[in-house]
Amino acid sequence: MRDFRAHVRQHLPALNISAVREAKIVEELAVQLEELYVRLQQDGATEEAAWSEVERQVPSWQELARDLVASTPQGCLPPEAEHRSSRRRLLTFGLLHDTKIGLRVLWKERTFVTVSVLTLAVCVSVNVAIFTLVNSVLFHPLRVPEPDRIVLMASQFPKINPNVSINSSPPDYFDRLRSITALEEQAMYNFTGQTLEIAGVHERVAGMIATPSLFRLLRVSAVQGRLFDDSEGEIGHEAKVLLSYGLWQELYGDETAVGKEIRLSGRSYTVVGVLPRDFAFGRGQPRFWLPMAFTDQQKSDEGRFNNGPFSIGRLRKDATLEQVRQQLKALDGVILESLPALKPMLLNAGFQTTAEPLADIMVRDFKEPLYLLWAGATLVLLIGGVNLCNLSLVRGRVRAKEMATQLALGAGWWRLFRQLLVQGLVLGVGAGIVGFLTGTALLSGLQAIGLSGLSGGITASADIPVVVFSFGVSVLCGLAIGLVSAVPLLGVHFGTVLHDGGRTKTSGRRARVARSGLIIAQIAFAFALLTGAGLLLVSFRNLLAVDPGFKREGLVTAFLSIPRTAYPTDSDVRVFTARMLESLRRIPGVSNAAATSTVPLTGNYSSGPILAEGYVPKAGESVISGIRMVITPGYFETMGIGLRRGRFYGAQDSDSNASVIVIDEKLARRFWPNEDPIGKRMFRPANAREIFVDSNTRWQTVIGVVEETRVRDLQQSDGLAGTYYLPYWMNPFRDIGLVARTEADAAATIRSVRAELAQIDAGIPIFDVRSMDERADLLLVPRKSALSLAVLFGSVALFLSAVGIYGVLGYLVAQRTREIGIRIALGSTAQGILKLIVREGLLLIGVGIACGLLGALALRRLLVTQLYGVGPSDPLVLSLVALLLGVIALIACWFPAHRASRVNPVTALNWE
Amino acid sequence: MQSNSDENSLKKGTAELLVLAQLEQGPRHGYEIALRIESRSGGLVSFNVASLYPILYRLEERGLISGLWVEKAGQRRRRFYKLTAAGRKMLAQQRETWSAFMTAVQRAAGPDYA
Repeated sequence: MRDFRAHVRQHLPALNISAVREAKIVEELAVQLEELYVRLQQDGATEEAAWSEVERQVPSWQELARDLVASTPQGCLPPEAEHRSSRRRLLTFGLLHDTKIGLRVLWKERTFVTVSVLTLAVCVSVNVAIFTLVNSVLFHPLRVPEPDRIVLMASQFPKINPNVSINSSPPDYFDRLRSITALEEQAMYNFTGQTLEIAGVHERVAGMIATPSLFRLLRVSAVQGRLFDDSEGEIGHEAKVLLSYGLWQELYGDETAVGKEIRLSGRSYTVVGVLPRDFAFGRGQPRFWLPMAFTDQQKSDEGRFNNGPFSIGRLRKDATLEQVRQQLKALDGVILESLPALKPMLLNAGFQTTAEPLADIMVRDFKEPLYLLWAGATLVLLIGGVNLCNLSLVRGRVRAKEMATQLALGAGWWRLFRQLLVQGLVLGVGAGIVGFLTGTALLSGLQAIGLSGLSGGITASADIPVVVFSFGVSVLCGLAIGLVSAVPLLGVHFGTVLHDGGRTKTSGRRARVARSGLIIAQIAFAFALLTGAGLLLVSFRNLLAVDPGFKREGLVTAFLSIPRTAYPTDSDVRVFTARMLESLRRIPGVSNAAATSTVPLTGNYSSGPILAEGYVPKAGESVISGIRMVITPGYFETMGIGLRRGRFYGAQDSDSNASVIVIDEKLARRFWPNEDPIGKRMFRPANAREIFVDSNTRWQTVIGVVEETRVRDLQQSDGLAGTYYLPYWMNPFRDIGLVARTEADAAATIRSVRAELAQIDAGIPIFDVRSMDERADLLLVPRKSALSLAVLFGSVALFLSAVGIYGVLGYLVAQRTREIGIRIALGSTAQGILKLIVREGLLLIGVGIACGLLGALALRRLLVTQLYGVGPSDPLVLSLVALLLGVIALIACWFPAHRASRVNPVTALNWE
Repeated sequence: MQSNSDENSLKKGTAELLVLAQLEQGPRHGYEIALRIESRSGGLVSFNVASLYPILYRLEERGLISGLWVEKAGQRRRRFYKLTAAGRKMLAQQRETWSAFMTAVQRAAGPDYA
C-alpha cells in the first residue's frame, strides 16, 4: 500500500501556517487521494492507471500550496521565487508567523501570562533601577570628553593617615608640570564657597578655584565670553570669574554677563564667560569658577605636603597610566633627595605619589554598595526566573500532549521549539517593557523619598544603555523561559504521551528533578539575599545606636564665613566671633553656643601631624596625625563632651598667646599610655621643616583630656590617632562652624539664630543650618538607601520563593493525587499524608538553606566593608535568616500538604 | 484546474455555489463532494483535489460550512463538511443570483428574434 501522507508531504511546499492546521490539511488531502486510488482500482483500473490519476489530481503543488494558504486565515505564503531563493525572508516570515501563533496561544493562557509578566516585570524593574544607578554613577561619573584618560595624582602618607589621600600641594603641581611628560595637560583645582549677593540677599554659593588649564583639560568651551587665559592664573590678575549657566540666568536673565562685576565675599570679580548648561564637574555642582593663583611661598618647599587641592592630568594619546605612575615614582625619588633632612621621616610615613583614573576616585565610595546591590538585583531576577521556569515546566507538561499530537501530525520539532521560544520572547519583552517603566518610576520614587544617597550627587537617568540593558535582560529571560518550556519536548515521545495520559515516566522524572533543583537554587539565592539584607540591617541598627561621644539631641549647627573685606584683621575676626556667640547665648532656650573649625558628622574634617615632647618613636615608626579642631571655650559644654582630666578651655585662654591644647583620650593613650598627660608639652609642625624640635618650636601645654568623639562619621572610619583641640583665640579663622544647645524647638532656634546674626551683620549669611540629628541622618543616607533596597530585594526574594515552593509542591500534590488516594484507601491517615508532603518540602528547603549557607559563607568577604559591628558570617543573623526562610517556606508547603491530606480516595481513583 | 484564466474565474465564481449545493442534503466528505459534482454535471464539471480543497477551506473560513473529523468503525478517518445556517442562506442567495444571471445571459446571448 502506498503512503499517501508521505506523498503529500513530499510534494507540498511548506505552508508556514500553524503546524496542526498544516498537518490536518496534509491528512485530508492524503485521505482523499487514497480514496480515489482505492476506488479506481475497485472499478478495475490498474495500479499504474490509478496512480497516474492520483498524480493528475494535483497539477501544480506550488499552486495548490498558494491556494491553500490563501484560503487559510493564519497565513499567506511568500512569493514562490523568494520562497526558494531567500531563506532569510522565509525565516523572518516564519518568525512573524510564529509570533502571531505565540500571541494567540498566550492569549488563551492569560493567567499564566499575567503571573509570568508580573513576576518578570518586578524582577526586571529592580534591575532597571539598579542598572540606571550603576550606569550613571559607576560607568559615566565624569561627563566630559574621553573621561577615562583623566587621572588624579595624590601624595600618600599611609603610616600617618591610613585614609587614601586624594590631594596634593602646589609645589607638587609645578614639579609634575615639568616631569610628568605622559600627561598632555595638567590642572589643579579646589572647591570653595563664597558669599554672593543675589537680588539683595546674601547667599552662600558653591564654586571652584582652578588653574586656567582645567578647562582645556576638560575640553569645555564657554557659551558666552571666553575661558581664563594663562595669565589669569598669576597673582594680581586673578580677579576674574566664570559663571555657570544657571548662575548667569539667575543673575542677569538673558542679558550678557561678560564684563559685569560681581562681589564674592566682598571682593569684586569681572565675569569673563559663561560655561555650558550641561557642564558638570566636581561634587556639589559649582556655580562659579575663579582662577587659582599661587604665591611664591605656596609654590616653594614651604608649601610642600600642605595637601589641599586636587591635581589632575590628561593622558597623552600614546601614553598609559602606568607611564604616569613610573614618572611619578621617579619624581618622588627626586623630591626625597632634595629634602635630605626629611627623607627618613617621609620614608617612615610611607610617602609616595599615586595616580588613579579620576572617575574611579569619584565613585570609590559607591562602587561596592552599588555592585553589591546589582548582584542582589540579579539574584532577585534569578529567583523570579526560577519561578517562571517552574511555571513553564508545568505548562510544558500540560502542553506535552498537545505538542506530541502536533509532532505526530508531522509538525517539525524545530518548528515547535521555535514557537515555544517565540512565546517566551513575547513574554519576556512584554515584561521588559512593563519592568522598564516601573523600574524608572521606582528609581525616581527612591530619589523622591530621599534615598538617592547612592548616586553621590550624580544624576541618574535612564538613557540608551539602560534601554539596551532592559531589552537584553528581557530577551534573555524570554529565551530562558522558551528553552525551559521546551524541556518536556525533549522527553516527548508522542506515542507514550498520547497513550499514557501524560504520565510518562522518564520525562516526568526529569522535569521533577529539574523543578526540585530549581527550588533548591531559589531558596539558596533567597538565603544569600536575606543574609545580606539582614547584615546590613544589623549594621544600620548598630550605627544608629552608636554613641558619638557627645549628646546629639538638642544641638543646632550652622556655618558662616567672615569676609576679609569687612573684617580685615585677626582681631576683627575675634571680636566678631565673641559678639556673635554672646548674642547666640542670649536666645531664649539656648543654654550654650560655641564656634568650631569642624562640625562633627558633616563628613568634613582636617587633620595634621602632632608630636609630643620626649616621645621617642621606635625605629621606623612614623609621625602620626590627628584630627585637628579649633574651638572656642564652651565647645565641650555645648556638645556635652565629658572631661576626663584637667580642665576645659575657659576665659583664661582667651589670651591670643596662650599656648595650650586639649586632646582626647585616644591621643593621650597614644603618647602617654601610663602617665598623666596634663602639663606635658606637644607641638604641631606647620610645614615639613618644622617637624624637628629647635628654638623656634612652638610648644603647647596639655591642659585637658576629653572623651573620644566621632568626628568624621559614626563608624569612625578616619583611622587617625585621635583628636586635638586648639584654642580659637590663638588661631582665629573665618570659616566658622556654629554649635548651639537648645531646649527649645530646633526650627524656632534656627530662626532666632538667623535673626540675631542679621542684626550683627546682614552681609554674612549662615548656611547649611541643621540639627545634629539631621546630620547623623544625612550621613546615614547612603547606607539607608542601600539597606532599603536590600530589604526590598530580600522581601521580593522571600515572597517569590514562597510562591515557588507553593507552586511546585502544589503541582506535586496534584500529580500524585492518585498515589495519595491509594495511600488513603490503604489506610494512611490525613496526618500521615500531611507529613509525607511536608517532608518533601522540608527536604527541598533544608537542602536549599544548606546551599545558601555555604554560598553566604563563601561570599562573606564581599560584604565586609559595608558592615559595622557585625561579622559577615554572624551566627545570629544566619540562623534568623534560616529560621525566617524556613518558616515562610513551611507555610508555603502547608497549603498543598493540607490539600493532599483531604484527598478523597474515591474521587482520586476514579479520576481518569 | 486549467491554466486558462478565463475558465479559472468562471469556475471560481461557480465553484462555491457547486460545493455548497452538494451539502444541502447533509454532511459529506471531500471526495464525495467531488464525485457528486462530477456525476450530477454528467462529467462536464469535475474538481480535482487541488481545486476542491482550497474552496472547502475558504468556505469553512468564511463560516459557510463547518468540518468535522469523523472516525467510523472499520473506516478511515474522514473530514465531513456540513452547511452552516449562514451557508444555507448563502446558497439560496447565490442560486437566485446565478439563475437571474443565466436568464440574462440567455436573453442577451440567444438568437435575436426582434
